[in-house]
Parts: sequence; C-alpha cells; structure tokens
Amino acid sequence: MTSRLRRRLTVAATLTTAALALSACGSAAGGAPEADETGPQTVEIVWKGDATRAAAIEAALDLYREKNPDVTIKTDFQSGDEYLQKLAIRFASNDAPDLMRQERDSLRDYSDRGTLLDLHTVEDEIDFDSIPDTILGAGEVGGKLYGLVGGITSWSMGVNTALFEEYGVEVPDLEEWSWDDYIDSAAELTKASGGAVWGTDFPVGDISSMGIFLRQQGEDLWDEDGEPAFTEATATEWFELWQEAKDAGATPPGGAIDVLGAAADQSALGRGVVASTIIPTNAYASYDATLGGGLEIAYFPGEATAKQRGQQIIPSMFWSISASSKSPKTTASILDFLVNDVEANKLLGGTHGQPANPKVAEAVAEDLSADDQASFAHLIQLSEEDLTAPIPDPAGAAELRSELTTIGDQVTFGQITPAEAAKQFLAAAESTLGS
Amino acid sequence: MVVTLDTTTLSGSPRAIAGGEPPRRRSRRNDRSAYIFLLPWFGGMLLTVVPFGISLYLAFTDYNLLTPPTFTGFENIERMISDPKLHQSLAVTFTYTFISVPLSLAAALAVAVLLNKGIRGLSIYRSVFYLPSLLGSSVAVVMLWSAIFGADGIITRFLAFFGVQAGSLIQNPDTALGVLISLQVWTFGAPMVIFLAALRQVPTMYYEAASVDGAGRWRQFRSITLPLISPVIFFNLVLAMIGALQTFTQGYVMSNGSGGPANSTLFYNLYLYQQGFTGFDMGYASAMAWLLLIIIAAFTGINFFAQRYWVHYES
Repeated sequence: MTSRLRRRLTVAATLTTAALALSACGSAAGGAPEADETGPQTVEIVWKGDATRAAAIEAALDLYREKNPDVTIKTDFQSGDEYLQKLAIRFASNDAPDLMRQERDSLRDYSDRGTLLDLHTVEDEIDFDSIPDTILGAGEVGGKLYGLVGGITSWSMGVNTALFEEYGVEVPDLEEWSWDDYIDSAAELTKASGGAVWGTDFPVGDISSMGIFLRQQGEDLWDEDGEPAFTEATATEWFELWQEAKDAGATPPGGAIDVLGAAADQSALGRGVVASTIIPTNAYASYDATLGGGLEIAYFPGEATAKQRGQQIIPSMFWSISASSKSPKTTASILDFLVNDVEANKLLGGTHGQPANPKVAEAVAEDLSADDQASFAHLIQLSEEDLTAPIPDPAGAAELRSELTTIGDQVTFGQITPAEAAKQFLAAAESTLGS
Repeated sequence: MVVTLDTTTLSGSPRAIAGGEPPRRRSRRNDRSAYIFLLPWFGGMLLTVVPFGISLYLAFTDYNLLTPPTFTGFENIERMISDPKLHQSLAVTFTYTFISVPLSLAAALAVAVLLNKGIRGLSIYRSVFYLPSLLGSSVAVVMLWSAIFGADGIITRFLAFFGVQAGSLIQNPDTALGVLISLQVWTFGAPMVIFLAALRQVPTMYYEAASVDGAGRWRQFRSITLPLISPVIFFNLVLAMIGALQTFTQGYVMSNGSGGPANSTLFYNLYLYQQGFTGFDMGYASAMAWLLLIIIAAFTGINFFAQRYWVHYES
C-alpha cells in the first residue's frame, strides 16, 4: 500500500517536472499573418519615463479606451537606460510590444534591422498631413517612415537668474550673448558668491552641446551619410573653451560638484549649485519648479553672432510600431490619437515637449501651466529663426555620446589636453559612426 | 581539527560512510526510482547546459538580439585582441582583484584573530563586523559610499581640513577605483567568520607547548596558527578571487552604468553587460563571457597548483 502510494507520488512529481520544463520552452510565437482586425484587439504600449509621465499617458489612453471599448490596451514603462535594455530583450524573445517609444539615437538600431513597421503602410489610420514635413522627416530612414515624432523640443540654456540677483551680478542679454559674455558673467558670479555657487557647469562632455557649438562654426557632428562632419581644429576649440571657462573660475574643475543623477532635483542646476547649464526645453517646467522659480530659458551663447544657428528644433522622442504587431491598424489609430487628438494632448501636457502638430500645440497651449507656456514660447521663438534641420542620428550615435562623456571626464581631470581630446573624439567618431 | 578542507575525510570509501553494512544487490526497481528522483536534477541541468552551449555558439557569431545570429568565425576574438576598451576593463578588474583580495583577507584575518581572544560579547562584535558583508554589494551601500566620498562627503571634508582639496573622489578617474576597493575591503565579514571558526579549531596545547619553549606571540602566529589555518586561507582566497573577477554591481551603481569617470571603474563584467544590453552586441558579449570563464579557470588553476607550496594539510 505505502509503496504504491510512493510510486504514485514519484510519477506525479516526474510529470510536474516535465510540465515545468516544457512550459519554460514554449511561448515563442513569431509573426502571425496579418489579421483583418475585426473584433476585440489587444495592443501593448511601452514608453520610457517616470511616474508623472506615466500618469499623463495613462489619462490620455483612458480617453481612448472609453471611446473604443473593444480595444484592450496594456502598458509598461521604465525610466532611464533600463527601458531600451528591456525593449531589446523583448524583441529578441519575439515578444515585441505593438507601440513603443524610440529615441533619436535608437531609431536606426531598430529600423535598420527590419523590426519596425513602415508607417506609410498604415497611412489610412494616421493623419500625417497635419505635421510639418521637416518634423515628419526626422523619423524617416531611406524613404520609409519608422518613427512618428511624439513632440518637439530643443536643447537650450537654463539660467538661474535668481542666483545672479542674489549676488548682485548683472544678467547678460540672454539672446545676444557671446561665449565671452557667458564665461565672463559666470566667472563673476562664482567670484561674487565667494565660491558658494559656480557660474555655470560647462557641458564639455555633452554631445548635444558640442553639436550646437560645431554648427555655430558651420560644421556638425555628422552628415547625411553618417560620416563625421567636423574638423579636429573646431573640436579643439570646443575643449579649449572649457579650459578657458575653468581657468576663469566660471565652471568647476573636475569633481568639485556632485552629480547625483539625471532628474531635475538631483542635478546641479536644480539644486542651485550652479547657475546655468544646458537643459532640454521640455524639462524647463520641472527645473523651475524644483528651484521654486527664477529660472530663465536662454539661447545658447554665441547664437546671435554665429555663422549659422547651432540650436535646432528636435524631436523629443518617436513613436514606432513593431513590424510583428498583430494589430497594426488599431495600433496606428492609437498612435494617431496620441499625436493628433487635442483632448489627448491636453492630458499629455508638455511631457514630450510641444506637440508636433501645430494646430494641436496651439489648442493645448492655453491650458498649460505658466512654465510650460514659457518653454512653448521659447520653442516658437526659436522656430522663427533661420535654423538648420536636424540630421537624423546615424547608427552608432549612442556609442559616440558615451565616448564623449569619457573624453569630457578626461579633460576636466586634466588627464588629456584639449588638442588630444579633439583628436580622440574625431577618432571615436570615425570608428563608431555608421557601424 | 576538521575545519580543514581536506577532502580525504569526505571522500572515504562508501562502505565506511554506510557504516560497514554488507553490500546488497541493487534491484532494478531501485535503479529506476533513483533515476526518477534524479529527473529534476537533469531538468535543472538542461536549463544550465543548453544556454551554456548556445552562448558558446553565439561567441562565434554576430548577434544583435533583433535579427538571427550570423556565424562570423573568429571575428569576435580578433576584435577582443584589438579592443582598447576591453583591455582597459581587464586592467581595472585585475587591479581591483590584486589589491582588494589580499587587503580584505588580511583585514578579515586580523579582526578574526582579535575576536578570538575570548573577549566579552563576542557574538555582538561578530555580528557587527559581519554586517557590512550582508550589505556590501547592495545598491544602498554603494549610494552611501558615493555620498561619503562625494564632493561634499565626510572624507572629502576631512581631507580638506588638512588642506587637501581633493574634490569628489568618485568623479576623479585617479581615485574612483580606490573608493570601490575600500568598499570591498570593508566587507570582510564572510571570510572573517570562516577564519574565526578555523582559529577556534587550533588546539590550545600547541600554543602552550610553544610558550613553554619560549616562542613569542608573533612566532606562535607564524609557526602554529598560519600553517594550521592555511587550508582555510586557501579556501577564502579562491572564493574571493572568483568573486572579485566577477565584480559588477559596485561599478554599475557608482558610475550609473557607464564605468566612468573616464572608464576608471569599467569592470570586465560591466563592459560585457554594456556590449550585450546597451550595444546590442550579444555575440561579442558571449565571447567576452567565455574569456572571463577562461581567466577565472586559469587563476583558480594557478591557485590550486600553488597551494602545494604553502597550504598545510593535516592528515
């Protein structure tokens, strides 16, 4: 009796093990043939961001859910680098979400490998005409549209004028200022504060800032073919500019201020440790709120006198549909809703910058907070200047970004000279871009 | 005296372990149930061996996670030979290992010797010294360490008091790795507990005999304690080296995943992770994983080879 019971137990245990092993192997489905999309649909949307952004996006999606009870929308989000890491794993395991956020420097990684849907194939669902061609073109690769711009923004200078006033230093003209004005006023502020604050945090290792400087000199980071488009001499000037700012006391030497993280309240600008640095315009509201007011959005130094404007209107992010989506049409209709619907964008607010659709942007503007209105106004003012159109990030741009961070660290700690830094950066650009 | 890792006590003949029971003919039914009971183990092994084999294959491919891998032969290996960042990550990892392992073992042994003096409240001290090891590689402690050594941290202010304007030791490429080494040395609890157990197994009669012969403390430590606990030192050394070569969390958290400043905390595993998960180069990452396996196996092999010259087994 007992031995039979024991045998039964062993058999049960064996079967359970086998079942577990089998279930571990399954679940790889692969792209099913395109359905006609009648009946209930399930769409999964993923994005990158914090809880505040998630709340805004969920609110907009709830509106869509109300109008389309047949569609089930699942969502997921991560903030920081984890987002792209998880996305890659999901694509690798044939579990791609239907609609996803792509970054300027990740779009090529995905589109080049045929994992994204050409949005022209679902053009019945999306109103492209509402979006200016220059903005729409940012998501194009080889004539195919792989990403729809979710919002526009710019890199601009955030200047804490409250600190200038506190220490009795005159705020320079924030539209016409030259690089010399920038460095001199920052040095003066550092001095006036007795070293309590730094006039600026010169973004020497930041690729967006360097890109602006290069364009001001008539060059750029890369050209249409994804080749480096700058000279070693101009790159040297950029690193020398940091040296000049550091020698003048305008910007701190390496290690003088703590970098706690990327969020506004962790940044040196947000903590009031430095009085100016580069910020994305759409983040202006959160920086100003962190500081309790007193922050101004400024043009980059040198813009007024440069050969050409260095600042650009850039997509803050892209929405892309995966090529393996089983409900591409439904997904496209959600995408259209997120980009072109006024009510949806009122709920989204300025989280992705200014809506890419000008009519929507106008309709939304009046409902925005004063800070978001200020950043929108800055974008509109900037867009009226004679700007160059951003060249989409080539493959390898993300790697080049981290190379420049490393080179910037080496410069600020005096491990290499500006000339050596420029040489290294050019070599890095030549080896990483287009690969 | 059974603290030693002497395998002979463990691998005596099966009969000796079974207590001298006469051999019995194994029935086929017994065999079958043995296999059935082993099934979960086979299942578990499949889950290890299959990915193991796949990663070996991937090491010879170009695999970006999004499209199927393509076989590229020895391309990844050639690339490893000429990849300066890989060489930098090896330099970081070896520096870290060769400094932090001896220091943390020495600290662990020193504290264990002190605690072995039969002081009051030993268990409290033991717990207190062990505590950092429980927290050591956790995110919270690395964050704490970042704050202590940051531009406005206690250590930095302390140095400033003596006129050393060091700035943030974490953002400085010359000192960032040193901060991580000090963190590692601080977490000596696990080897300390093992050392303590070993020290308590050394028979006091040896010391009594030695002191009768006029041997001082240091002499006793060198000639009695060290040889008797050498198998435990060996054990701790092997484990610590393997652990140090695989360091990841500390570098990742303190540099926000970049291995910065200026690649000074770019541990091998961190670079491997970057290649696989942020650079979408799983083929190269797999090849790197195999190189790490070979490196660890080599160091462990050297350790096992060298032990015959300094590890003293009592038998």
